Amino acid sequence: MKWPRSLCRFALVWLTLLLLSFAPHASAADGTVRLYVAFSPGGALDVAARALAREAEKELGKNIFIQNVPSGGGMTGVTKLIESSPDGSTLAACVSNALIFIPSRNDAPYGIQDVEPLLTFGQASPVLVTRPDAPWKDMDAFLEATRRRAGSMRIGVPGLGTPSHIALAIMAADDPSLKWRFVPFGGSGEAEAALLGGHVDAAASGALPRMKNGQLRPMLTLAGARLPSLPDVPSLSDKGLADPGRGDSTFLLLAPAKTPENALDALSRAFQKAAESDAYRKALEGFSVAPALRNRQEAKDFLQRAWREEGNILKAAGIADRSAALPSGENAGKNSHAE
Amino acid sequence: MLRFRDLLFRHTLRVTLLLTGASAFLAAPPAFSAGLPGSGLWPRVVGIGLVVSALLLPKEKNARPILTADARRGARNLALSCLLWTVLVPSVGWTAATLLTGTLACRSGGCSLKESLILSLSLSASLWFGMERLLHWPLPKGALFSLLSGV
Amino acid sequence: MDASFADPSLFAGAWTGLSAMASPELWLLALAGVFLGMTVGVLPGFGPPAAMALLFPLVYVLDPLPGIALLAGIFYGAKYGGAVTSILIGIPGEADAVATLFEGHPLALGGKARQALSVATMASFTGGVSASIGIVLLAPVLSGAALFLGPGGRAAIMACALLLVACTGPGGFRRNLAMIFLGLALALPGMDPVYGEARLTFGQWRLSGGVELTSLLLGMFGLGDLLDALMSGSQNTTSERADSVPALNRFSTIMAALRGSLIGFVTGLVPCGAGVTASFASHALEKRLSRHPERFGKGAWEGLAGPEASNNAAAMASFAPLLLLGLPTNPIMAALLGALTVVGVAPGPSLPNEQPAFYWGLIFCLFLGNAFLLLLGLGLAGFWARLARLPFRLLWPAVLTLCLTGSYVGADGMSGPAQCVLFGALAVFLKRHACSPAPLVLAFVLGPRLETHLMQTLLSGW
Repeated sequence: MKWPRSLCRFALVWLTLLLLSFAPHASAADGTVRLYVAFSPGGALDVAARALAREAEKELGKNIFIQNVPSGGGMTGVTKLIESSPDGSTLAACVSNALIFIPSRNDAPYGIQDVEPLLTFGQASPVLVTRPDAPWKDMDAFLEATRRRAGSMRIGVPGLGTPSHIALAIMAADDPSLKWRFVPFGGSGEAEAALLGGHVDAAASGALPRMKNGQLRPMLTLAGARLPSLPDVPSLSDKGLADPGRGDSTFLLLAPAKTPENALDALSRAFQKAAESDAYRKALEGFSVAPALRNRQEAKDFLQRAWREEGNILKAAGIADRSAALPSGENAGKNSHAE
Repeated sequence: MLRFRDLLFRHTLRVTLLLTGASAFLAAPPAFSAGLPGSGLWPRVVGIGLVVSALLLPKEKNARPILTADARRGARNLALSCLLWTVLVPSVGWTAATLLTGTLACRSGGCSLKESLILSLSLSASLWFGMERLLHWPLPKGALFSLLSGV
Repeated sequence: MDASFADPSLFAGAWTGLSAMASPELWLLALAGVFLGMTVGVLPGFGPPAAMALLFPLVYVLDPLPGIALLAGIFYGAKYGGAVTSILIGIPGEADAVATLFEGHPLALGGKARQALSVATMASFTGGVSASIGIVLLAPVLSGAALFLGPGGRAAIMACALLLVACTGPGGFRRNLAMIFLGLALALPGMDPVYGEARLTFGQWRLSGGVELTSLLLGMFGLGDLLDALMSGSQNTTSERADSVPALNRFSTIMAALRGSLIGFVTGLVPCGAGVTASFASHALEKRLSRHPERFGKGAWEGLAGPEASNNAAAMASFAPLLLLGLPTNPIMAALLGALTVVGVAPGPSLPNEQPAFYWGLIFCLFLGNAFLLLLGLGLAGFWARLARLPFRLLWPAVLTLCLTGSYVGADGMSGPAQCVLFGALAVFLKRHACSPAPLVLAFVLGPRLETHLMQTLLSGW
């Protein structure tokens, strides 16, 4: 019977192909650290992470390979990190938004206990800007004009629920005489263009070079500290306000939760030195990122605190009622386990 | 009197669109929240539009196409290849899955063994080279490989 | 601040830019960028953003102009690569390449693959060069005008394109309208573009990315065509199809390319999904204007030249808002904006005056890149065409593998191929009911933007 012979040949071919397919994977290079950046190339987090990685490569002595995973608001990048093997060869850089606000609104099956933060290396500090020929010269004049116009001032923000929007919304919530219309755009570039075209009266922007050469007039840094490149522009704390956007605009470097301690130690020390270097600070100059550095333990505490405060912040900003899945302080553990 | 299948064919598109529109409308979050337009506004607009356009569809003039045995075999081969590939990738990795599925699909389409092997090998090799080596995009290795390499 | 195009000081800067072009390093890097872009464009599911991310570190090492020229080269090289796969195997690498396959693929099936590729290349060149000339002469004026086009105006452009496609597409207005709404509905699941909230995900968090564009394109056009060919047994020989392909009329094809360039240039200045919008609109327009509209869908040369020209013109034109306003009109321009900031170039209306060497150097690089594309395209046309002559029984497993792998890469997981297969089945289903997938794809791509602009308009005035 021909049947068994052709079956043998069939099985042989298949097995050969199967074994052949293992060869390329087995020959893959080792000793590289893969860094997932949960942002699109060219953005502030991407540039900061790349600058950090370049400096850290010198400290670690290993090659750091960067891969952008921008989808899902950062959730895909964090998920890839969690699913990779915890041996110190995979890291992720993300904005804390991807760990705190976004997953709870989207029922992501991970929580902050699935990641081990190594350090924080920056905080996105958008600046409220206006046109150079606008009638208001600084923040106080802008607030005055807002009160006079009784609710028809429009501010362009790079999305609702972003740090700039939350900071301004809390400001408005605290002061009943202030009322703004927030117009969302797909990024600060579009918001700036809308500002220049006269479609909004002010915008939250990150384009430091344009602020410095006079194309945009900065009024207020929407973060807790002044930006080193804009020392004359007041920050939220100068105005007596807390920095509510801290929790979702901080850049974090993460490793998977079960990574062994010695790997974590080596990595965090190398990246810490990289973050303190001059070259890194210089790289941040063109972007409105404050070098908010926290070491491993501080980063962990920061993350825990931000997770607990998240619900209250959003309620204060008046956008908590949009989404029923937000945890408040008490049941923070509800969304932190996989289904 | 139309056969049931012909009747089904005539109305399937309209019904599908109606159902999609209705679910877009009903499953959406509230259209307005806190006095401002919310994230549910657009889905409702789209849902209504879909329902209306489904109702406005012209009547189906074509008859239900009859499939020949050849056509059925072709479609079945395609479906089985897809299924095989989706099952193999998580278990034995992308390279093995593509090699095996490519060979099998070729054979079922009428190629000789030599042709199938050449095609699937060259395809997998060039794609692997382009993805892994050139673009550093890691292709999945599969559970079997991790098992073996862990040993 | 706004220099009119007759201002002589504008052209003084041009000499500076020309001298910046004198380095051979620049020419090599521009060529490398175009080549890499072409390779990436041929691989479905892997778009130019990934290749740009890969080469981004070079920006720190190289001088500003060569670095940006390299990245920019990837951008339009990928457009050409996408056209190659569209025409030869009917798989659009990205949304911009979809309109090319409407006429390009039937032409290739009819044995005219090499000619189709050449026409596509020359049309791209026409589009690119006209748009670059347009930037040189008109950019300062037009960019200012583009600023005044608010959300309402942009939404209007997109709606016009959709309407045009609905009126001229095969299947009739009512069916196309239904397809448009279906496309809009498919874009709904996932994160809201305005609030970032999950909606219509039915508890599946992985759907928070929504329906993946790559899976949609590969499924509807790649797998869909494959399934259709298998199920209808229509594996006609090339010679049979060749009879139905119309002859090439040079004059009307050139006119189509010029019209497409104009459409592409104008839409490229505004963030309205320019590449897709322009190419679909151009195809619809050509069909409307043609004296033989019945040829469309079977291989009308005008329908190939128009979209290809508009595609490339839109790509070139999008450099104007990037350089003069700092406004990125698509994700690739956004990455370039980041690169510009890294190298210390501040985009803005005064860029031509402040950094004439860079500005004019980049403009000349755009011309250079187009020239390289023309040479590469015409030179490689024969090579690609020979690949397409493989018999169907060898071709279909290759197409299947590319579709499955491409959608896996595009969606970064198994959900990609799953969606791809579903959309393949959907494409066959729609085809059986005489509905065309073109309005669906256009509506899917434009849906989130339309929604964003609608919300912007409402929230500004609420």
